[in-house]
Amino acid sequence: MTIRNVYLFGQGVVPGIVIGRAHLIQGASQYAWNQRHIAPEEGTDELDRLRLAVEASWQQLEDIKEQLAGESKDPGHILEAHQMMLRDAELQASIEKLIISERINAEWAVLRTLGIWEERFLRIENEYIRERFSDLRFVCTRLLRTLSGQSATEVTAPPPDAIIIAQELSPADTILLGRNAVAGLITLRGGKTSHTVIIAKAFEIPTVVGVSRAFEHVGEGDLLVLNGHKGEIIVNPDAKLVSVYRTQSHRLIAKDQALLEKAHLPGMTADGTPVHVLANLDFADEILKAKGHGAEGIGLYRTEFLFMVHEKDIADEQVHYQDVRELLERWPGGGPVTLRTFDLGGDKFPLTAQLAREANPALGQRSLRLALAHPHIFKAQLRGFLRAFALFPHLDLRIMFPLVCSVSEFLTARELLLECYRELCIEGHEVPDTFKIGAMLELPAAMMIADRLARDCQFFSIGSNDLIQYALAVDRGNEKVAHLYRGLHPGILRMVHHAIRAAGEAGIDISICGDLATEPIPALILLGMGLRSFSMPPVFIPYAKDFLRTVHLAEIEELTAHALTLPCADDIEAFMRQSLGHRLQDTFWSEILEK
Amino acid sequence: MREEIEVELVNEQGMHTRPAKLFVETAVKFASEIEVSYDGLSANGKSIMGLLGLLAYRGCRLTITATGDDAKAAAEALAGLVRSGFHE
Repeated sequence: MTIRNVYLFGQGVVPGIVIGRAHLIQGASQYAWNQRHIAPEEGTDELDRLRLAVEASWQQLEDIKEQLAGESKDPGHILEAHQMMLRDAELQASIEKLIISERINAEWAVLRTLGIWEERFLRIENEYIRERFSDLRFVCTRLLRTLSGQSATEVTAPPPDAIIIAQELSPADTILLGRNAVAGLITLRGGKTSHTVIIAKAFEIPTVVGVSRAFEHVGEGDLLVLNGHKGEIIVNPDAKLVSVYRTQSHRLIAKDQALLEKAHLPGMTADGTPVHVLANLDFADEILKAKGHGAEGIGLYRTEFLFMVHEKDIADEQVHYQDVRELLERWPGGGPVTLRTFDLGGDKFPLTAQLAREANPALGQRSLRLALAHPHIFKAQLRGFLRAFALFPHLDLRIMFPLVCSVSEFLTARELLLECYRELCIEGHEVPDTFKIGAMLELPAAMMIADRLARDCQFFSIGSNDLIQYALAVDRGNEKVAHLYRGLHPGILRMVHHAIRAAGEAGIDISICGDLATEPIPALILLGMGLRSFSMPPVFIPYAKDFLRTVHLAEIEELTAHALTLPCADDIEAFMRQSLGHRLQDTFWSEILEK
Repeated sequence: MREEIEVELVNEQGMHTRPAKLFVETAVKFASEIEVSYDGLSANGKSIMGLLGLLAYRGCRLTITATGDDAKAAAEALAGLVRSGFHE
């Protein structure tokens, strides 16, 4: 008998609710059933099989690479490294030697070789070296698939309602799965394979990572509900649960359509107070999607991915110039375009070169600190931005620095930016002097000096994710304390309130670009405090605009004033929930976010 | 001809996949045989797996040995690549 309603938890990295059938993608170790001894006279045939499989696998990667040509999310250099590994003489010699001397078939020899390398690699306690082993495992898995007669597309073109489950997914597989519109992705390994997660986001495939026990509980073809926002999987849900989720999912699709048609309407409350709803973007080519979803500006353009794709050009001004130029060329105008300088370090990008091993990376040399410690890399980015600005003098262009901690730090960064501006003017570039320079408020100390920062900054953007983590001393990824991560904590709300007032008094723009902007109750409280600009992933924009049209500002202001007198996050949530009643339940947000 | 140069790995990630790929791409432009050794291990400088197998991280000193007609140019080009931190 099938066990119903088994709940599995991981980390939701791409939101959305989907229902589908499990499709397991095998990692290298699952090809072990294929291994067998061979007769001495079979040796030559086996070597031929290996060579053909190597070339076929190489060609598969070549095809994927060609499909991607010209796309800005092109992880071409990784695919090329994988190709080089496939054709590597040493790797082949090692496999061939095992085929002949041990009289084993090619599959077995590949697995044995992988095992030998694994032993060498994993002996070393160094994250970078372990990452290298992932690359070899991707390559060997591809080779094993080809040897087993699976075509490149057989594995990565499952039925349309498939939810993929894999130990880990290579960048190449994720791209093909994204193209084939699978319903969802689940990986057993955690969030460290950041290339894969970023690709899944770009394709908007609901994804949960770090579901370490998925293979124990899920069989091929099992019915699954995947909630990419909560990081929850339900294995073999009973008919009642399926119908609940099916209805939700159908309603989402129908509502999606209806809302998309209204997405272009300006953001405002029921009483007509304008509220700007902006987009957070990772890639230049997302900008049309953002516009289609009703974005009234770009509140956050992240520039970190460039450092992963173009690692070798890390200090190359031209790369930054090209990227921003591509972004601005596609932006039809109206509303700000806010570029955030690179925010690397901490836990985000274990693959990037900048990270020295630090005992406490979250409190270490990350983000703006890293940029100021490497002024040549920082200036290359700033110069690239400004050169692109020269082509679009009519746009509302903004540059913001992340993780600003003090006035002097902001001024140091601003001076570097102005130095770049002066250099470019001398070199003959006509950079407009109308662009704005602002700070991301994500440190508690910065929030508290917002009134003082506001004298030098031309705008603020609240980065609530880091703010909550630093203010409450909670790592959201640590399941033992994750429940303490509360955006509605009165301490957080007071800091945000202070910053909103400071910006108002100074007459500068303030916006929020963290997850808090996409959660209905905190978003309403921020609205009640006077915030009029919210930036979020494009997929949320139509829902946010729709929800805003159901609320009256006067009522929200009254509720907010009372909420701010309550002692705990739970009290605030209960009070808001009770006061808003069905309006909250009717939002798409609550369907995704609540039980 | 034989040319030997010792260099220190200065880039953060050491001999990671991308640096190894760049090293091979440079090495194969030369006719000389390239050997890279570190900590008693030596690898063919034209093999990405060989280079990765050195398990060399930042601060390790590599010995690049080129043997062949263009040995001097090869060793210097490769040493330059390593010294530049693989353009990171």
